[in-house]
Amino acid sequence: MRYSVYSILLFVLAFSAVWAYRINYDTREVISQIQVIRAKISFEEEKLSMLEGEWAYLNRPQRLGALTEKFFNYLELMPISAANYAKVDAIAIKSGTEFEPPTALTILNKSNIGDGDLR
Amino acid sequence: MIRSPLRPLLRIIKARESGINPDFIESQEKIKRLIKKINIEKDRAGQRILLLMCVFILSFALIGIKMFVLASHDPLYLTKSSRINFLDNRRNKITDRNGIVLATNIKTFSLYVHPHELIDKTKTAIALATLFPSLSVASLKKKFHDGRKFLWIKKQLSPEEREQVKNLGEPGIYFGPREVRLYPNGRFASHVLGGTTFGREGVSSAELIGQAGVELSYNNYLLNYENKALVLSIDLSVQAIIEKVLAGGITIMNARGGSAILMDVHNGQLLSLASLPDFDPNDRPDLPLQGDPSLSPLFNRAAQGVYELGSTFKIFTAAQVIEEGIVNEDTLVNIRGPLFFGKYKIRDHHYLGEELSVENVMVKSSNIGTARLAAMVGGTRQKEFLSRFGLLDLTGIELPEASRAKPQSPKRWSQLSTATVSYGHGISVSPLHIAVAYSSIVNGGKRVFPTLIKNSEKNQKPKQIISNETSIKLQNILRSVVKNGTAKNAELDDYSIGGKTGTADKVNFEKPGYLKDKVITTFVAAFPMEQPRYVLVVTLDEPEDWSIDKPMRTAGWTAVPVASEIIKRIAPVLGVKPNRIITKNIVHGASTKGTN
Repeated sequence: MRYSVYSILLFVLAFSAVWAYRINYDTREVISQIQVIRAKISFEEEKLSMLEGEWAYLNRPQRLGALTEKFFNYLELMPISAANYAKVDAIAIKSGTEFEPPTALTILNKSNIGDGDLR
Repeated sequence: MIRSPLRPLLRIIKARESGINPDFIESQEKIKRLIKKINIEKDRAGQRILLLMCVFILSFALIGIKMFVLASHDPLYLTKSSRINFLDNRRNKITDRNGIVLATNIKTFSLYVHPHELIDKTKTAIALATLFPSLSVASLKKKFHDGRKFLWIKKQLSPEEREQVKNLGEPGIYFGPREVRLYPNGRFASHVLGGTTFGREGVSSAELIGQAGVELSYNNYLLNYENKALVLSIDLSVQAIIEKVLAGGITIMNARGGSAILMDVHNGQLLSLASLPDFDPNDRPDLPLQGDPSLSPLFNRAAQGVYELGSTFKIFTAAQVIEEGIVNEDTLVNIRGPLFFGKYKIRDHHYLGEELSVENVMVKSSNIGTARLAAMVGGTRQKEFLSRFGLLDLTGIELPEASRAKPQSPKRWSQLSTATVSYGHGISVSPLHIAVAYSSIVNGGKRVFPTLIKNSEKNQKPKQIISNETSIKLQNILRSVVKNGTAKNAELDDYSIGGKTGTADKVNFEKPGYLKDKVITTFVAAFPMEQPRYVLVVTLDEPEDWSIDKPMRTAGWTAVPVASEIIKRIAPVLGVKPNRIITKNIVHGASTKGTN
């Protein structure tokens, strides 16, 4: 009886030692993985920040204003004014052929302007 | 140790004499020896046990302490320490209220040299000086040869410059990563953003710290990587329109500068704060070392400068006499003048008649009428009333520069001071103070505090400082000023505007008195007057309108048209419903034309 209790305890001890050993190394492995992922996140965040900066730079009010003037013949964009407000009932419901909104590509193709001009 | 003999002769002889076996004596001696030995061993074992016990107690105590230290740490401790390597150098971005980026970081490179590793020092010096004209060959050569082991060449390189330096192929030239602050919109909202500079610098990184504006006041917030982007209350589209129109106005009116503030009257949020001339925060100029600092582009005229803003103050006098029930808006006031205070004379800009109603005193902007109204309340109450609107204290806006805009009021509040303060002379405040005070006038009488932060908790429980009834009466008066008074030029078909003009002579800083023909004109507008949502303050410094044969310098001719144009352009962007709305059917096809 005594020996069987001892052997069970010994087995439990051995088992928990192995378990603790494995957990220890698994944790280290996970920490190093986290570090790699963090480095990746940091790298991606850096890229994101760069792209956001670039996007904001390309969309700065000054440039958009200049582009609106340059492409006025095609886009006919005007500053929004009080005359742009209408009651919902005043809008005629469209019928027949669907209107296709112009894309940047169609505008470029039609206006013979190179990509460089958009900078 | 002297051992006692096993068979001591004396005892053996005695034993033999008495017939005892001498071996018995020997056994007794052996037992004695053994007992002694055992006692010595016992002592030793006791000492060993004690030692062992000490070692065990000490090691358990150590383990216990370590366990306690580990347990008492913040669980994030480990993750934080592993994160710091990558992200310690980040500065959070700043966006406008709609999420448009106003300030972000981009990675560039710094350039430094280890002179002792260079192979051909002269060639390198010439090559670097050719690439960067600001460097001189002679000084580079001298620095390369003076025995130093490290030399900064440039703190920031563009990718092209980096490529060119790389192509030199010289060992000993190094690049360090460096984050720089980018303000993609250039000059827009420059006084709000302020700018950054490099703090502590190292080879692998440099700390970006705020230099002015929200970059400085929110420096700690921006440096804490656990925080998200700083969202300002500024609306970039509105800011861009206001700066454009204001710049145009300054050119047409031949003014030295100007400012414009757009504030939400209910929550104190500033949708726009513009001050011209401005600067590019990407390349922030240095502070001027000589001359008038208020002429520097860095000077924020909207929140930093204090000026006598003239007749815009009259509404506070009207507010007080109406609020205290002394008069109502129809009570007639004697405006015969001039009024004399010792040798000081108060008169109107031109003859306005003998008496006017309180409303018309505002509409026609009568100094005499306002001074008489102020005399009804007296200096002490006037001072208390103005302080309720925050006109005697700092605004508390989140700009470090604004802490210098402490209003200047009379030290001794005499009868004369009461009279002049009633129409805005002898008291200097910033345009932002006026925006805040007018917000309370038109928002139903609630005190608001200005803020540049979208989710600010500053105005959650605003204090009632005048009654809603008084506020409504004052709104009607402000509307009349635009309909029939000094601000007629602001009248628009689509939006109903209310407001008050102010034209004040500039103070002469060289000798006591005022400058001739140099004015600061202000127009404070509220719109839409059906239910005021915004207050706009436009200020022009030394404007002169030459559209007719003589120069016109009053606010009605200068600041009012600029403000009117601003409102005409921004109201649709802000979603303010116009008075006239298209109700007839829109022709199909016309709707395909967009708007920007």
